[in-house]
Amino acid sequence: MVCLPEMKEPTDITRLLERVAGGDPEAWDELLPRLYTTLHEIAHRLMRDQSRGHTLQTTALVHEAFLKMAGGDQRWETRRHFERVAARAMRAVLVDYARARNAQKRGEGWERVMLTEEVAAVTGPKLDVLALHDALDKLHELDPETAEVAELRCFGGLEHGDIARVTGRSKRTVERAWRFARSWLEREMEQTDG
Amino acid sequence: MAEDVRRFARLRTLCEGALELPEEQRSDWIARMCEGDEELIADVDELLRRIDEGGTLAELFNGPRR
Repeated sequence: MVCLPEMKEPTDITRLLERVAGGDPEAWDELLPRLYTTLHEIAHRLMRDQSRGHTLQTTALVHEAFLKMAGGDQRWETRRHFERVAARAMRAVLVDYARARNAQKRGEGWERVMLTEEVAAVTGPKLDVLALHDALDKLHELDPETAEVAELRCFGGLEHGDIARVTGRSKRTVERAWRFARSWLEREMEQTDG
Repeated sequence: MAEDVRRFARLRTLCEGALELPEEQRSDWIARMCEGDEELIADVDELLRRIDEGGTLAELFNGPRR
């Protein structure tokens, strides 16, 4: 476990992201624990909202999200870009886990991912991650900007104000986009259910 | 696809426009704007109903009402 320093001002992280993008290895060393903290927060929010049957190890999920992000050739020039990359990575991780879980149910021998952290007692509405993933893909084809708001909301765990900040839109615009997107996505997910 | 994109944009504009109006004026306004396209009217009505009632995504991600 990394020993995490206190989070500093967001502008500090933006500068770090810019330095990382410029190839400064020291900036990367500074950024790494913060990135971990941020991703863990995202994962925690998502895990808190997962259905009870969704057995995930938060730390493993965060670790995997991080590897997906660091493994690509993403250039994180700005925090804005970073938030988008984080949401995209989270979505990929949750879809992977959902597929693995489905495969396991079909007896294809996936190793069971044991729950070790805060999710055990979670109840609440069930979220079909794969149905949401497919519906978001379809929404993206029809209206990429609205799909981005929904992706940041569902997989990035961001509030409207944060989404407005990272996408450079007004909060009001983001609220409208989400209001429409969620009702459209819910209908789409139900239709796909059959 | 281009047709789908146009129809989606229209659907979204109609829903957002309707929500700007007082509730009692909405259905007249939607009917006028849809120019007799019954399928579009039904789509708008359904999405407005879902916006009003909320659903799984609303429960999971809406947080405190604003």
